[in-house]
Amino acid sequence: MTKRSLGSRLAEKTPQLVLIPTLVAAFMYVVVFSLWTLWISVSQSTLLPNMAYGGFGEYAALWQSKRWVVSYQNLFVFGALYVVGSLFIGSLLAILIDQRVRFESVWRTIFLYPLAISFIVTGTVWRWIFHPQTGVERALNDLGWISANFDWITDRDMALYVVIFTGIWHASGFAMALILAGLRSVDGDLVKAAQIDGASMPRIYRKVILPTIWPIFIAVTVVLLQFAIKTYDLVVALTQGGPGVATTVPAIVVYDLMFQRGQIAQGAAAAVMILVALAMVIVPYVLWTNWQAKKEGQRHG
Amino acid sequence: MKLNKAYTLTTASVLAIAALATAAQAEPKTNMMHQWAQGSEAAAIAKLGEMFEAAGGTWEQTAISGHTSNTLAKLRSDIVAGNAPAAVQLKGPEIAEWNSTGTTANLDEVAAAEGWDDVVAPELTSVMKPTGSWVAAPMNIHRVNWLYSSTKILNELGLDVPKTWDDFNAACDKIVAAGHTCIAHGAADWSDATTFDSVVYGMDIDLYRKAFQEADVDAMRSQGMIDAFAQLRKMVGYMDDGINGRSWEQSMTMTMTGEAAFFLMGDWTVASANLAGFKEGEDYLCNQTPVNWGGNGFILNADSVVFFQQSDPDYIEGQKLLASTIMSPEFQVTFNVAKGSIPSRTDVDLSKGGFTQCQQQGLADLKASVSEGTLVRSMAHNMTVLQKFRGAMMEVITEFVADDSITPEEAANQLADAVELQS
Repeated sequence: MTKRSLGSRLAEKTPQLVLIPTLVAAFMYVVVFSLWTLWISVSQSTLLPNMAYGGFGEYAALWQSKRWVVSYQNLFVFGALYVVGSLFIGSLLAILIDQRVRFESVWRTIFLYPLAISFIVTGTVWRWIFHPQTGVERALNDLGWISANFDWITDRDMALYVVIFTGIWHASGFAMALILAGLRSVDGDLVKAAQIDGASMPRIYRKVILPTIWPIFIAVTVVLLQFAIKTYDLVVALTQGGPGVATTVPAIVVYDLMFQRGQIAQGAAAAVMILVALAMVIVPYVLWTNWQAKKEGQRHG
Repeated sequence: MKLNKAYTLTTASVLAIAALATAAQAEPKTNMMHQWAQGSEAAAIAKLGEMFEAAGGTWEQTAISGHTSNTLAKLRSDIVAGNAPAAVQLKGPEIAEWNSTGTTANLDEVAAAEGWDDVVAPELTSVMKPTGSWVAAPMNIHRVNWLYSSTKILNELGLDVPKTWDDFNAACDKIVAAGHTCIAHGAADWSDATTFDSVVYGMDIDLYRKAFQEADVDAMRSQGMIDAFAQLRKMVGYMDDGINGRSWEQSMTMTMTGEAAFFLMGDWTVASANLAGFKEGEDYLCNQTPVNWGGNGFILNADSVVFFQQSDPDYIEGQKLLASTIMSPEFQVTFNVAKGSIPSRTDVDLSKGGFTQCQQQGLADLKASVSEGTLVRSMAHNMTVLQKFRGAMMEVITEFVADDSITPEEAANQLADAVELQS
């Protein structure tokens, strides 16, 4: 009798027990290491970690550095346009493929293919394409259009958009694949009902189908956001952060400060600021979903 | 049979005695951490290993390919873990920085026995001895202030290699008027700073010493620095519009094939150009970058090996052997022929062993520069100030090259501000 109750109690607790290692690992990685980085950022660390308290001077120095300010702005511009652009192009491709086109799997493979290519290769190839002396401009000139001018990658104001374009090229196939799976899961009756009501196809997509698969958009956004925040190799291969510092992103600055310049404390401060940037996006979202859930609960209760 | 047995016995006892003797005496061992994982540099390091083994040591190496920062990351984690490597390739102010952590070994004994102080170039000695004791052995000397000229363009326009910056600008005006690109360049923070090293040095050597070797912010705000930035702005105008995203090898080829007239770069160019089949004297000329004060100038860059404290006597013995192998004229010749640089000892005869004319010219200029007191270390190649100052300065310089709305006055102030921020 006691034996069986022990067994059943164990069976009850098994899910929790199984989750413990994961929880501990997640706690270590997310909370402990974040706090560790936070402490390093206010410590006296230079070449080697030094845990003595050193104050917030590194944050002040960081925010007076032009390169950091530019890179932080770039993070927001790049992050926003990269995510929105990839979602938009991805949805468009998914809807087009959803029209029962012929050779569908061929198209799907073609559009998904960029994701299989590493950022380094992507960056290098697009650098050749965008560079005035090896890419499009050269080709147009050789064809006889001497005045053709396409030098975005060497233009300080346009170079960031080259990075965004290349990022979207790389990620929109991924967005397409997930959204297409979502589109296929939508109940056919729903579409038929809308058709009977006399709605046009574009309107059905806009008002019925896409709204029903919104969780997929959230999932894609989260995945793309973390790509955006840790972007490093794409920029290094494409523009090396240039012209000047025009396309530098925070990850490059953190790496430089920590590993190249022996300024661990300032590098940690920069890493903390990246976390803050992420919080600026995530916290409002979590608040919003909580608020939504509460509203739902009230409606049903 | 009996004889045979006795023979075996004797052999065994001899072996046993030999083993005893070696156990009492440390067996030199080493493990060198470096970043030369590929190509001719890896071959040159392999040669170091062979020479080390020939001298009775046991050689191991940890090659970390890629950027210096990868080496630094590995070194840092090893030191924090209390497992300092025996020998690490490090350079410039990094030597002093690691020396100040109190983990480096002292090489004074070997240095005194072999007389390093008499043969190593003076500017280099101070880097290898941050607090008066030798902690590092220099492997080579690179010259940063080379001006490579296209013989094709010079002959076509009947120009001489410019000696001063005014000559240089005049030559460029003619070259541009004739429809050529004057300066081949690939923009990156280090290459922009390499060019600027030569400009500041050539215009005012005292300013160079104060601003780039001592990080003196008043010197950075001075009129001399503003003039230097103005000259750099002029030079950016002599470059074509494809400098962004171009590698230094590509810009080198532009000058070698006569597409552009001049190329300012260190002597590693010589090794690459000769490897690509271009010929000194035929395709290109090598001269020092222009100086306005006459005489011989030399901006120095050097690779070196730093030794860290060990507890195992085998490794301590190995450090002494490795240090003396690195400083041996034989190794210095082999290594530097492959790298395009010149030996860190000034007493090696470069007419033998396969050194090129440019390399021999480099050594002659180095000696002249030492006797004239004009030898300096390169800021762009991390031989002078701490990485944090160098990084801050390179940001300003590369921004100035990329953005022509920044005036020379603004740039000089930004340079000083950036350095003040880090101190």
